[in-house]
Amino acid sequence: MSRSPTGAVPRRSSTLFRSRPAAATLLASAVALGAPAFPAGGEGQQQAEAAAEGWPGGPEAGAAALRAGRYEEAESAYRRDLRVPGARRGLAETLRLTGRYREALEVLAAGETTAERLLDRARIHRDIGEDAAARALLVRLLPSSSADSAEAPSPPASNAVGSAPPGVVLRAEVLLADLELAAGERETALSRLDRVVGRYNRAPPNAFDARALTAVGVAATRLGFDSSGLFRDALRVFDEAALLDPADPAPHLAAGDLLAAKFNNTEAARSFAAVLERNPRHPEALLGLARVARVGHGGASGEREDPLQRALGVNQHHPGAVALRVRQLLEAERIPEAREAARAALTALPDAPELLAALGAVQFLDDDPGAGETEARFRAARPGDPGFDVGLAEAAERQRRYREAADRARAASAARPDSAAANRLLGLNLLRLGAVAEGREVLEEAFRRDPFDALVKNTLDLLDELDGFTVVAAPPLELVLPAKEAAVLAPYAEQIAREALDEFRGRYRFTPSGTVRIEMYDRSADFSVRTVGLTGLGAHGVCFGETLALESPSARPVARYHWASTLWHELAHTAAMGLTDNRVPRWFTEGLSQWEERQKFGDGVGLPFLAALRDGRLLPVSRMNDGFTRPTWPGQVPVSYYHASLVVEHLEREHGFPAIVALLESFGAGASTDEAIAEVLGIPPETLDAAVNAVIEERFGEAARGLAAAEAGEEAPEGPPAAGEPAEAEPVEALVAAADAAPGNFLFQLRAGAALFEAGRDEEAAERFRRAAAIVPEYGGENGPYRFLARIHERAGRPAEAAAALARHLAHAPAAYRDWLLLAEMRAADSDPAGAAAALDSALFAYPFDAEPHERLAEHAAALGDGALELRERRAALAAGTPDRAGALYRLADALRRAGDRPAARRRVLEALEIAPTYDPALRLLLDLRRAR
Amino acid sequence: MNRAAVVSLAGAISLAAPAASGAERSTGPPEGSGPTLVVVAGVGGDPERRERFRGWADALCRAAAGFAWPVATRVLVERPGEPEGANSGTYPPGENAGACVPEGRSTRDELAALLSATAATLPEGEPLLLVLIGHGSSSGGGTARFNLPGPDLTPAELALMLDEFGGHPVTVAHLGSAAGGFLPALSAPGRILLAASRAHETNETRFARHFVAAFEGAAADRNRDGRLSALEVFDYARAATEREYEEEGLLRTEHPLLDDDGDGEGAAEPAPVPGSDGVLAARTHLLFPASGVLAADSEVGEAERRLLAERDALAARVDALRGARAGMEEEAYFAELERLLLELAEINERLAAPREGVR
Repeated sequence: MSRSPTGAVPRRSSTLFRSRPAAATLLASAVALGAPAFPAGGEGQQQAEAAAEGWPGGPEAGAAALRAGRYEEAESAYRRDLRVPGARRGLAETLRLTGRYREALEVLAAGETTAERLLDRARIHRDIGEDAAARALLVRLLPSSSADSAEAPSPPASNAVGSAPPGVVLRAEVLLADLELAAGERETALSRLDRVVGRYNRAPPNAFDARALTAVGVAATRLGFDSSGLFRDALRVFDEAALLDPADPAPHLAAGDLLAAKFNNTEAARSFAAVLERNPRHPEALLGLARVARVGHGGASGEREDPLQRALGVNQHHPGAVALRVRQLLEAERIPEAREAARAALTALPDAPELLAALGAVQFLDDDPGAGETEARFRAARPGDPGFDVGLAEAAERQRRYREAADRARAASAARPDSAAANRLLGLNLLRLGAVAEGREVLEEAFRRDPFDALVKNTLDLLDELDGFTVVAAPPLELVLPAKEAAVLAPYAEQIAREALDEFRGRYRFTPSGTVRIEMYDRSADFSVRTVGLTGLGAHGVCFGETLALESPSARPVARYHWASTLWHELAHTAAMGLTDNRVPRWFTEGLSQWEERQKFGDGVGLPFLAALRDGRLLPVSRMNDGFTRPTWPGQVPVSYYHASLVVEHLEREHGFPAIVALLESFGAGASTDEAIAEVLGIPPETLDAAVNAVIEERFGEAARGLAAAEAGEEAPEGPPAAGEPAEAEPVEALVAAADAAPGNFLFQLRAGAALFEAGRDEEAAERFRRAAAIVPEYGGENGPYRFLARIHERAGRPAEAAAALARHLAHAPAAYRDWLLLAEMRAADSDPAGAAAALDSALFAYPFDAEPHERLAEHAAALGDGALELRERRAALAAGTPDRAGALYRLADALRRAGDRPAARRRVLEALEIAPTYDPALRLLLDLRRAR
Repeated sequence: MNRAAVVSLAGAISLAAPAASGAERSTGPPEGSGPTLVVVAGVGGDPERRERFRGWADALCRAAAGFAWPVATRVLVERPGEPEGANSGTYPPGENAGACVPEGRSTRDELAALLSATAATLPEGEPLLLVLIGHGSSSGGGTARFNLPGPDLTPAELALMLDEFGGHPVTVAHLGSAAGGFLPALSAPGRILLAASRAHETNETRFARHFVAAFEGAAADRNRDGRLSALEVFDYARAATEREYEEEGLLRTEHPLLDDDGDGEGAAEPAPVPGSDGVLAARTHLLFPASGVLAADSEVGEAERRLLAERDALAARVDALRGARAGMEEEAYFAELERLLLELAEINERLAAPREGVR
C-alpha cells in the first residue's frame, strides 16, 4: 500500500481556494468591498486604526520598537502618544506579549470602543481562558443573523457598536468558532467557519488585510479534519498574508503551528524563525520553536539558550509556555516543581485551559485526587475541548505509561472524533501496547482524515512494511523479525530473551503479564519511526513495557552495535516497568538496564564520561533524569547511562541487591527518587551522591584528571586509528615525548603507543599501552590498549599472551565482532576448542549474519560433543546463506543423524543432493540412512 | 589417481587437482589446445592498485592452470616487465611454473592482437573466457571505457575483436567500474557477459576480488560437480560483494549484472528460468572443454564407463525433476527425488568399490 502524500504539508498548493493575487492594502479592500466604515469615534480612531500601515500600527516609534521586541521602549513610546490613533492597541499588544493581560484589557477598555479594540479584547480573554467574556465581546461585532452574506451584511446585534469592517467581522467569526468548538457547539462552529471560507472565496481580490487572511487560513485549518486539501490551502493563505504585511508575525505563527501539528518540524521551525528574525523576543515564536524542538529526538540543542526559557523570560505568564515548562519538569520527573509551576501560573490566570490541563497532568501522574477537581473546572468551561485528555495522554505517554495514555486518548477521541491529536495518540499507544490491529485501524482512520500528519503516515508505512516481517511465536515471546533475517536471528533472539526473562524472574520475581513482543528492524529509520514516529532517533532500542523494538544487527555497521546486549537491556526495562506499573524514574530504569547489560556482556568506560567527571558535569542522583530528558551538552545522554549504571552498581555493592528490588517497589508505590532513597536506604539523596562520587573518584578520578582539557572535551576522540591504518601525521618522537611528559594522560599513551606500533617499535609501544591500560583498565573504545598489546604479542609469537590481552579488550568492548573471531582463531590454534567456541558464540551476539563463523562454531561443537550447539550452528550457517549450501545441508544432515533424528537427516540430505546430485558424501549418507531404516 | 572419464558430468572431478597429481595433468597447453582464459589487467592508477590488479590476474590464471583439465592461459598487464607483485618468482615448482607470466602489455593493440591470435588457433567449439580487471569509466553518461595503458578500450572496439570468435562460446567478465556500459555493445546470442557494476557506477569495485576467489576454492561450485558454471561464479561473487558492503555498513555502489539472453540488458539476479538471463550461464561451465574431460587412466573399464553414463542420466533426471517441482506436491516430489537419488547413490557406491579396493 502506498500513501501518496509525503506526510509533510507542502508549502504551496491550490484546490478549494481560488487563486488570488496578493492584496496591496486594507484600504483598497475596504473600498472594493464597499463596506461602510465603522462609525468614527471621538478620536477618529476607527478609520485611522484600520488604515494603519501594517502591523502593529500606531506611532512609528512604538511600532518599530514592538516589531523588534524592544517591549520596554515600545511601552514608553505608546504611552507617550496614547491619543495617537493605533497607540492604544499597540500598547495593549505590547502588554499582552509581555504577559500583562489585565493591564492590556484595561488599556483597551479605557479608550473609545472600536471594532478592532473589541476584537483585541476578545482575543486576550480567549488567551487566558475567559471564554464567556470573549464571546460576549465577539457577538457585538457580528451581524445578528447567522446568514452569510458578505455583499449584504445583516444588521448588527442589539448591543453592537456599529458595523465592523468585514475583515474584523471575519476574524471575530473565526475566534468565536474556536470558542464554540471548545464549548462543544461543534456544528455551529463548523458552519461559521464554512461561511468564513465562503466569504473569502466570494470576495474580490485584495478584500482582506493580513490579519483577516490569517483568520481565513485558521478557518481552513479547523475545517481540514474533513477535507485535508484545506491544510495546503491554509498554508497558501498564510503565505498570502505574509506577503501582504511582512512585519506581521501572525501568519508565520499560524503557519508554524499548522506545520508543527503535522510534525513537519523543519518547515515549522522556519516559520517561527521568520518571526524571530524581526523580533528575537517574540514569546509565541520562541514557544513554537521550543515545541518543535520538544517533538524532536532529545539531545542537546545547538541553541545557546533554551527558546522556552527565553519565551518565559519575556512573558512569564504565557499559558502555553508555562504548560510546556510544566511538561518538561514532568518528563524530568520533578513533580513537586511541576506542580508548583502550574499552580503559580494559575494564581495569575485561573481559567487558562492550558494551565488547567498542565496541572491536571501533574496531578494525574502523581495520583493526586485533586485531578478530578481540575478536570471538572476545565470541562465546565470547555466541554468540547479535548485538550485536557490529550494533555494527560501526552504526559502519560512521555512517562511510558502507555495504557493510561491510550485510555485518555480514547476518551479524547470519543469526545472529538475529529481530533487528530487524540486519534494519533490512541493509535500509537495501542501499537506500543501490542494491540497492533486496533492501533492500525485507528491510525488508518486518522490518516484518512489527515494525510499530512507525518507521524501517522510514517507509522502506517511502517506497519505496511511489518506485514512482510516474519512472526515467530515462542510463548511468552513473539518475535517480529525482517523476513530475510528471521531464520538466522530468531534462535539467538529467543535464547537471549528467554535467558533474560528467566534471570529477571529469579532475581526480581518478575513475570510478564502477557506476551512479550520483540520487534527487530533492519533499518534504523524504521526503528526510529516505530519509536517516535519520525526518523533520526539515535537510540538502538526502546521498551514500551511488554512490547519492545530494537534495531537488528544489520541496522548498524558491524562492530558498532551489540544487538544482544540491547535486547537484554530492553528486557530489563520490561521488568522494571512491570514491577513499578511504569512508575520507575527514567534514570533508575536506564541505570538498572545498563548495569544488567554490563554484567551480562561487559562494557567499558568512554572518554566522554571521564571528561564529564573531570569537568564536574555529572548530575546528582536527584537531578539525573535531566541527563536523559533535558540534556544540555552533546553526548550527555550516553554519559548519563553509564553514570546511572554506576549508581545502581554502587547500590548493589553497598546496600545489597534486595535494596534495588525495594527501590523498585517504592517507585511502584508512587515515591519520587528522593522519597524512595530515604525510605529504602534511610539516607538523604545527598548522602548517596557523596558515596557514589567517592566510588567514581576512586575508580576514575585520576584518569579523568590526567586527560588534557583539549583532548577530552566536547569532542572527545574515541581512540587512535585502528592498527594497520595509517598513524597520524605527527612524528612518532613528538607523540612519545608528549606521552612521557604526561604519564597520567591515557590518550597520550595510547597515541604514542599506536605510533610506535606502526613504526614497528613494539616493545616501546607495549610500554605505553601498559601505562594506558593501568590508567583506564576498563576503557571501552574500539582501539583500546589491550587490543594493541594483543597484536604485539601475536607479532612476537606469544599466542597465549595475545589471546589473553585480546580477551581483556573484549571484556570491555563486546561489540568488536572481528576481534571475537580473531580470538577464536587464536584459541583454536592454541588447541582450546572450548575457548574458541566461546569466543565464536560471543561473536554471534554481536553479529550473526556471517555463515563462516557458524560453520566454525559447528565444527568446534562437534569436536566437543555438543550436539545441540552443533545443530544450532549448522542451521544458522544455512540460514546465513553459506555459499556452499549443498555442503552445509549435508553436514546438517549428518549432525541430525548423529543426534538420532533420521527423518530430518533424510530430508536435509535430499535437499543437499537436490542441489548437487553427484555429491559423493551425501549420496553415501543417503544410502546409510536408507539402510538403517 | 585421476578419475576423470569420458563424461561431461564430472562428479569425481576436482576443479583444482591435488598437487600430488600435478604430474598427471596436462598443463600449460600449447595455444589452441582447448579452453582459453585471457586476463587483462588494466591501468591501476597508482602502484598499490597496479599491483593488486596484477595479483588478481595472476591468481585467476593460476587457479585456471590448476584445473584438472588443460586450460590455456594468457595474461596482459600494465607493466609486464616489472618484477613486482605476486608474479615475480612466486610460482610453485612444476610444469605450471611460468604459465602465468604476462606475455605482454595490456594495451588496446596488444589485446587485439592476442585475441586475434587466440581466435585463429582455438579449436572449434572450445570456449573463451575474457576477464577485464581494472577501472572502467563512463564520461557523463557517454561511452563506457575500460582503462588501458594508452588508448582506452571501448565497447565497440571490444565487440569487433570478439567477432572473430564466431563459433566459440564466449564469456566476458568486466570486473571494473561502469562495466554495465559494455553490455549493449557486447551482448549477442550465445554470449555470456558478467559486469561488476552498472553503467553509471564509477566507484572502484569489490566484485573483482570475489570473482577471482570463486576460482580459487570449492565454495562457488554450488552443485559440487567439479566445474564452475558462469552462474555459479556470478552468484558467488555477487553474494560475497553484497555481504561485504552489508558487514561494513556501506552504501552499495556496485550492482553486478549478468546478460546471457542477448538483449544487452543485464539482470541483477539472474536465474535459470526460461525467458530470463541466467539460463545459458547456468549450463555453461567456464573453461570446460567442449569435448569433455578425457580419462588419462587406462584402468577405466567398459563397465565403469557404463555406470558413469547411467549416473549422468540419473543426474539429468534429477535436474528435470527439479525443474518440474513447481507443479508437484511436496511429498511426491521428495519421494521421487529420493528414489532417483538412491539409484544414483547405489551406482556411486559401485563405482567407488573397485577404486577403494585398489587402495
